[in-house]
Amino acid sequence: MMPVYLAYLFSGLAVILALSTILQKNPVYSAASLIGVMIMLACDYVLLGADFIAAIQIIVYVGAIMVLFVFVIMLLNIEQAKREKLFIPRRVVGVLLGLAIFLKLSIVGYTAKVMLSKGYLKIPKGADSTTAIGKYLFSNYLLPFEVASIVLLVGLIGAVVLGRREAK
Amino acid sequence: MSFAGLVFILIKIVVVFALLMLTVAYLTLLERKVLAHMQVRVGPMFAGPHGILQPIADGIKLFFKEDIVTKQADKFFYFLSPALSIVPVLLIFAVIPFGDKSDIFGLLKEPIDLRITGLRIDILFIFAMSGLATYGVVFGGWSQNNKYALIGGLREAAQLISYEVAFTLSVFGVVLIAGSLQLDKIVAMQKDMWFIVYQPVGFLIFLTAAVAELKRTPFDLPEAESELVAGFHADYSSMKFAMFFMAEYASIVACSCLGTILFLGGWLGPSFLPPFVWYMIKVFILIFVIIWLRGTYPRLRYDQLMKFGWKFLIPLSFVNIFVTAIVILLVR
Repeated sequence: MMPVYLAYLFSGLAVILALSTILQKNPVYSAASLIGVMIMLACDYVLLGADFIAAIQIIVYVGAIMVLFVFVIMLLNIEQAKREKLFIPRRVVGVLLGLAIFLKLSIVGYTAKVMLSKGYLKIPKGADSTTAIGKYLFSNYLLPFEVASIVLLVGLIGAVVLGRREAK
Repeated sequence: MSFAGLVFILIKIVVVFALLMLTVAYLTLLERKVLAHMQVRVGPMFAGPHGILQPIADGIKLFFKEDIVTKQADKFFYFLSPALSIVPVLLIFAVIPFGDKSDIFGLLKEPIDLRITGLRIDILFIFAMSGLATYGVVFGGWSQNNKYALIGGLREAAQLISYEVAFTLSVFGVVLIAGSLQLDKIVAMQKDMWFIVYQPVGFLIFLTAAVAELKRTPFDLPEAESELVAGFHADYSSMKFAMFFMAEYASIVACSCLGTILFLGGWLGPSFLPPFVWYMIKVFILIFVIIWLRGTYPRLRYDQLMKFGWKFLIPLSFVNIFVTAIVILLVR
């Protein structure tokens, strides 16, 4: 199967670029590698048939968030922003955080699998993924959707408040 | 996919690419001529009658110019950036339709789609690619290690983040009415009435944000020649410089095609002209408007640009979507 090889290719490139993100000394190269990771993930989504998610991944992460990252890196003095030390020696915190993320991803993956196999989520064959996502977001998952938007709003207001205090 | 199908798609790609490059080359002449006549000059006159061969002369000149790489430049991104800026723009043309199904005046047995390919998420794909196109300019400006270019790149990043929002939102009025993200379906929905009639505000926001995305006057701050020399491409020369310019003009064509499809009824028109001709006429009207703006307006100041984007265009596009959605709910 061709898509399986392509999936290995894109995922492998994503892992290599992710390593490059944390191992590069120049922050601009790090940011560029992260952009590469996002694009590779979008390619994986396309292979999974989730074309809507793939497009949103590129529009939001590559087209907006990473532009902001690059903007800030370029606005700061590049020479000062170069990292002398690659790793901060806080092993316990690092290991704990890594375990937490691993646990979280496993739970999410497992619940998604259970949901699909028990038929909570039905994706009709050959259907438009945009329509399917839209229907689920505004019916079964309306509450989580609204809660997520409020969390984002709180973050936004928090950022504005912090920014204003600094300016005074 | 069969071998014949592959060859067929390759032929389509070559035809679209050749036509696009020809259009881009002659767009430079069109712009110089239109601006010249607006300023009571004659423009290029020597290469061929009325300067008709000027783009070809320019192309040959750029091709044979020395390719300079400055000492302080970051080599990797310096080489990558011109490609980063042109590839996404060319990819946009993979989904843009140029006409209805056609058998090209009886030349073919079965009618074919006049587009390279179609996706279920055409519009989102176009926005994704236009977001990617930012990086060519941003990294290009940074890689030259030169303060004018860096400021040009920074301005580009800030300007694109600001206007991308309004650009994307302005289109969703049309998507709400059409109920589809597919460009050919959106054109088919406009059989009775062009969407510009239902979405006049949306069209104006689209045009304004598109001019800002294209870095054209009055929003050409990333390459403001009077303050930044040439902005993000200050150190570039030869074909690398030409690639930045090709990307810019190709995105003008892409934006005009998108505007035609979304708001001006695409290839629909009275039947005394073939659909493709109607399409071309509309696209060239939009291109002319964009050139016309350059001949008419002075450049905005940077704070005016930001204020206009965030405090006027974005709220207005939210209001536009809100009103459109309510009207659709009431009508249906």
